Amino acid sequence: MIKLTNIEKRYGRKKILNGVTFEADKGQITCLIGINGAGKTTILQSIMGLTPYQKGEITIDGEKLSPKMLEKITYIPDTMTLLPKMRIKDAFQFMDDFYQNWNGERAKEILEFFKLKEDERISQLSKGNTAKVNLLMGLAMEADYILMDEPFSGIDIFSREQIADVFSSHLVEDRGVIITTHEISDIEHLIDKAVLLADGAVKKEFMTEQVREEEGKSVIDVMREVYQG
Amino acid sequence: MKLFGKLVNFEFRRFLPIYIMLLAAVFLLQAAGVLYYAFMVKSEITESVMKLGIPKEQFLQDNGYVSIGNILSSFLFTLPIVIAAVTIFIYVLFIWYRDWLGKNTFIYRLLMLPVKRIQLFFSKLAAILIFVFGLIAYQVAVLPALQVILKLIIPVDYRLDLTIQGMIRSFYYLKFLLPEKFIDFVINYGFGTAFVIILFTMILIERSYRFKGVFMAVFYGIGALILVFSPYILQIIVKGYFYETELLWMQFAIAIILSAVSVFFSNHLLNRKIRV
Repeated sequence: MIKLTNIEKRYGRKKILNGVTFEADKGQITCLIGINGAGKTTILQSIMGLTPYQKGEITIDGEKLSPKMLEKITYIPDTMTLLPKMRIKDAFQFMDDFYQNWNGERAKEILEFFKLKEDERISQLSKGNTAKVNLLMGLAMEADYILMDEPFSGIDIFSREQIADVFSSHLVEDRGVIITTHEISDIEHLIDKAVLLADGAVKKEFMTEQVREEEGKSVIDVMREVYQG
Repeated sequence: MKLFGKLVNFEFRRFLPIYIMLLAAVFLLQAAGVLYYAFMVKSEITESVMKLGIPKEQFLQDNGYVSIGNILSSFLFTLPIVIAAVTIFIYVLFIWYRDWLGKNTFIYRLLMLPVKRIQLFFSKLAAILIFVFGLIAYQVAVLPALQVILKLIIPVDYRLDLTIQGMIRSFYYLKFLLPEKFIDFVINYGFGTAFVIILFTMILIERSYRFKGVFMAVFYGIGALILVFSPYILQIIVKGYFYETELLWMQFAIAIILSAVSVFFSNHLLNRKIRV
């Protein structure tokens, strides 16, 4: 379980995260929802130790983030993090060199699923294919947890469909997924838990199926209640 | 340790294309220098000895023997060394900044590697040292080849061939970079390594605190500089009490302490303060 307890983060005088507390379980898809600037990306970066936070605690299966832990958790940012001159196969080699949990077979399987070629250079990928390669690099890790930052941002409808298919496939089965998005409609039916954020704080946290069954509301209905009063 | 080796190898390969171009430039410019010198001297020999009939002994008495040692301080020999040194210095800054400011933010990938983050620091430092030592080794290896060019153009009677050691002693920069005494070698490269470590720390301060970090980094750099030169300030206060060697050792000790503090601080920044 990834557990955030009372996380606070400031940039100068501005509070970016204000006492963020929530948990994300293994085997569940947890979606952080909020408009731009709500603190979604900062939360993921804080979990991965990519940005400092001033207060609170983050644990992964009860432990703080350590180099060893980075075999267990993988982050898929919304920006390309591979060198432009690399080919996809060079990126595979890089991952294979550094991660024990890199699954080359799975990487090739996902490559085929996305209809990409190993020889393609990172610098020549379209925005949609960049998002797919980003996703691929994360999914091919035998990690227990996957953090995804806006995987649908700025890509065409066919790429969105392909990426959305991943969420219902064996590629995320049994793993804990935290995904951020402000475009919930693509994955509303796939997520298990929603965490609604505004101004760096958690406004509401709920299990989607429970709300659907007990209150007859969709995630979007709850969002309307929370954000529009 | 295995992953550290991979990191160093990765850093090395990223700079390799530019490095190879640098090595080629060093050879080509120096070879051009040797060719220019050799043909100039040969035409002097032809003019004086062949056309004017000046005896060979007289020519050698007036002009001395032709040796590669005569041109090792020339512009075409020192220029590539200066270019290489400046390039490597720029790379000391670039080696960090390119991971943040490049088209793709590779720093994400580096910071998420399952290695202690201080290993990133040491791998970049090791890569820089490999480049420096590689360049020096290459320069030493190239000197005999350049002497061969001279041998092919200048007749043996007018030539004084040097051993590698003789060439190193005649080459001002190499004399400094490859000192005769091991202790001088340790001191020269100790100061050089300390300089790179402090510069890396300044970069990490800036990358951690951004705008505020610029001032903090400058303050850190100036502070380090004052500390390194503090023995000389002390020397003024005590009116020349210390010997020069004592001052040097004090400086060296301060540089070692500063390096250790910088590594410790960089480790803290990489683990607790750095941001992508």
